[in-house]
Amino acid sequence: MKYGRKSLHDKIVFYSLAIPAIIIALILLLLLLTQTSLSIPIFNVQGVTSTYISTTWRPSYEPPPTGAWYGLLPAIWGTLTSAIIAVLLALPLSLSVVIFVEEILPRRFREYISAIIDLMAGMPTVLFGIWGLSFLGPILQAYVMTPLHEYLGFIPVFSCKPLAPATVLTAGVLLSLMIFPFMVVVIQETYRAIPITYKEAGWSLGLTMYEYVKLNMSMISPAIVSAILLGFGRASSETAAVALVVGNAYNIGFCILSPAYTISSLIANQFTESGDFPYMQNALFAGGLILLIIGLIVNTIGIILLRRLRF
Amino acid sequence: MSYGIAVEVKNLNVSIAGKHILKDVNVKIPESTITAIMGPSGSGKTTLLRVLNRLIDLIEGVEVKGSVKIFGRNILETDPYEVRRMSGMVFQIPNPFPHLSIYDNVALGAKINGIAKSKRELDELVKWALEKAMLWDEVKDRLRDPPWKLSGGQQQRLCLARALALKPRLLLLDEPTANIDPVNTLKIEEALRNLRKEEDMTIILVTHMPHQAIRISDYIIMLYEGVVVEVGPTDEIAINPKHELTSRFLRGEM
Amino acid sequence: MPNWRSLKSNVFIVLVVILALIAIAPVFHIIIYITLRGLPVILEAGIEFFISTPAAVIAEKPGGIAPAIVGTLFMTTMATIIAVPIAVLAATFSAEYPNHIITKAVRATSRSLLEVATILVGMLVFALIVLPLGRFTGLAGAIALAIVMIPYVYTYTELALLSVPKTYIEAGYSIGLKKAQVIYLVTLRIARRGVMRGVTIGVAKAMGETAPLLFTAFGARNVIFGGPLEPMDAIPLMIFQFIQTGFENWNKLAWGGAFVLLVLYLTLFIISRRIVREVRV
Repeated sequence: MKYGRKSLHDKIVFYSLAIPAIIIALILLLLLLTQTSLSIPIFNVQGVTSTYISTTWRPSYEPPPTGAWYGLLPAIWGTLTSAIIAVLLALPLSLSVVIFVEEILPRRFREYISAIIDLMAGMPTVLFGIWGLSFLGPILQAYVMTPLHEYLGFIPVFSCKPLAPATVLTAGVLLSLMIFPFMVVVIQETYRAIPITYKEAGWSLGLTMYEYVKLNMSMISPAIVSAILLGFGRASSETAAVALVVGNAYNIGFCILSPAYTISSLIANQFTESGDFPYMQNALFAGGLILLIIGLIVNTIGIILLRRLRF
Repeated sequence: MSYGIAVEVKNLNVSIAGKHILKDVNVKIPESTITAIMGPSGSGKTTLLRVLNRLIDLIEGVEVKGSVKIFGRNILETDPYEVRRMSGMVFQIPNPFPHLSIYDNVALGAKINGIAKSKRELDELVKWALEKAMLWDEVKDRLRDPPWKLSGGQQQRLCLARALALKPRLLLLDEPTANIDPVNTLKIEEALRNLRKEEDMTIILVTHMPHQAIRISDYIIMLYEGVVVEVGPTDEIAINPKHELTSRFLRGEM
Repeated sequence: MPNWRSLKSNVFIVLVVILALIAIAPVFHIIIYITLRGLPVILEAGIEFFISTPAAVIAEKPGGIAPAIVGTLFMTTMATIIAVPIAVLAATFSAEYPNHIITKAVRATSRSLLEVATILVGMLVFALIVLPLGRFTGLAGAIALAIVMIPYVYTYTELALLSVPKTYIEAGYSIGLKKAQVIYLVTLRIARRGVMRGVTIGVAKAMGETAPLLFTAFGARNVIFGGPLEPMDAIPLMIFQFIQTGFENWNKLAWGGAFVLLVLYLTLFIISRRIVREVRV
């Protein structure tokens, strides 16, 4: 047997491990392929751009463009606005938790907080949804959304009357609770990785807690941006919980106190019946495709940012 | 009892990721002897030892050229799994398998390689290996305990027993006492001397401790930056080193 | 002006503490709220809750969620059986050949799959399995859940395998073990707690998923296990569907189901934490 030649045994091991690995690698490829190929029919009759920028959603037994029309912009808009609200709320929450755990809380309690964070991160999302639908939504409607509309109704985002507990804002608030644990993990890991000498330097300058934390956070700002992106990715892809609290109305507008659809809640609600209408299922696949692309882009940038940050 | 050549290395060149680690190494190691490979760290001692059981293959980007014969067989052209069954190895840091009991640590290799056929044979082999490693008396009542209940020195003797259970003719040790207390060091050295005497084992030991080499070895191979600078019987080298580097090393200046 | 600086800092600390508490409080409220609304339903229905099908919407008693419980158990088990071997073997590949192109591809894929909307997984399985078969099946649901589970098991297993000290692997080879034996008898055994943790977390994740089941298993609220090639219910699916109806009986079942799901999740969560604490090499 020549030196360096792999034995039969090693070859068998290689292939029996490689095949499962390839299967996993193929899943993403299949996902992209399926979403794309099943979107193509709707692109052929409506055009790519007009499918994504049209605001009309008109199912019909008559195929588009004359009968039915499937424009996805309202759902995309709903996804973006609810996810942005979620991130805007989750960012201060997650930064506060990191600072609280790392700088304020005595060491021996840290593990409890991280257990709670893990508990939240893994919680079945439908449980968030059912709680959001029957508790959070009504509370927000009565004590947050109604006052916001009454006192700040001149601002466009609060201009519409909150008629139901399920709105874009409700979805955003619920999503913020669902995504902040992931953002905490990303920020906290990097925060802990700041070399102790940097931190000591901060203290030795005689900084106050506020100035010290601000300095540390500025050192890990790429991680914070990454957490924002990963949180946004999570928020935009969440389905069950959002579908329960976003109101599922095909609206588009700047007011966040009205019900809306997100891409995923649109798919969740209409996919099963969509087989009955020509091209409607393809339109929903086109929605899935844009969701997949947004998710992949946002996550890739987030991960690259994290990787670049090395102390 | 024959006193032939156990290991014959000819024109051995090893490079790892393009870095030349061993340069034209030529040595002969007689059977039933203890040979110490000495040299400062980075001199290629461990690499040389790991060529002898092809453990070097585990490293990515390694290139081996030349010929290495063990008991007359060119191991560079033999299936590495077969090569590894020809020898036992003890590592620098005691590394008994943490998930196996004391008994199973010793028994695993024998079981896999079909050295013991029945449960009774296996029991006897485990006992023999532990006795030869001078550990039997300390563990015979707790063979089912996990190894981390043993002291570091005991763990290292367990690793010796694990290697012995393969009934190898060649035993390789990579600085086996570097992390061990003096009492355990002496026990391991005694075990090695007995193995050579009673079992005709050929023992090759990497060490950076000149005193250890002088205490137990019959031959010394002195390596420096991948080159064999001196080879010879320990008695001669200890009294009259021919090479400047060897004498400096023996005086502890390196 | 040191006073101004320290005042600002103190206000900041108070704000941070308040926000942190606001962030952490909801999880407790969710647990208590679901218990308060779900537990009475189960206590009232008794054993019926676990062994019978939902009653008619106008019936006096709500009946039970047996189809959902059985479906969740079946599909989660099937998903585990499918996902764990694939994920563990793939993770072993990554650990054995860390620089191989396949390793890079599977790592990137797994990382993306962790973040991809799970409803897309449902659509994929719909296109590949439900459409050709012409029907919704529990098997399709199980496959969708397996795809959800795979990246979790893969990630934790790879991490666990890579953290096995090299010296044990070398010792394995030194006593004549072949590659497959080193992997099976040494590396995976030493890493088993990490693998178990990944499996537990993956199971918890798959068990709680709703979206991938919507158009794969679809739901079958009145059938207690009709076989793997029939539509199948699941607890999250049942909650999602029943809570959106206006029927009090079905809402009650949703809350009872939510409590069951919560208990299952908390159990798995505690197991996964236990596994970590006992890690020892």
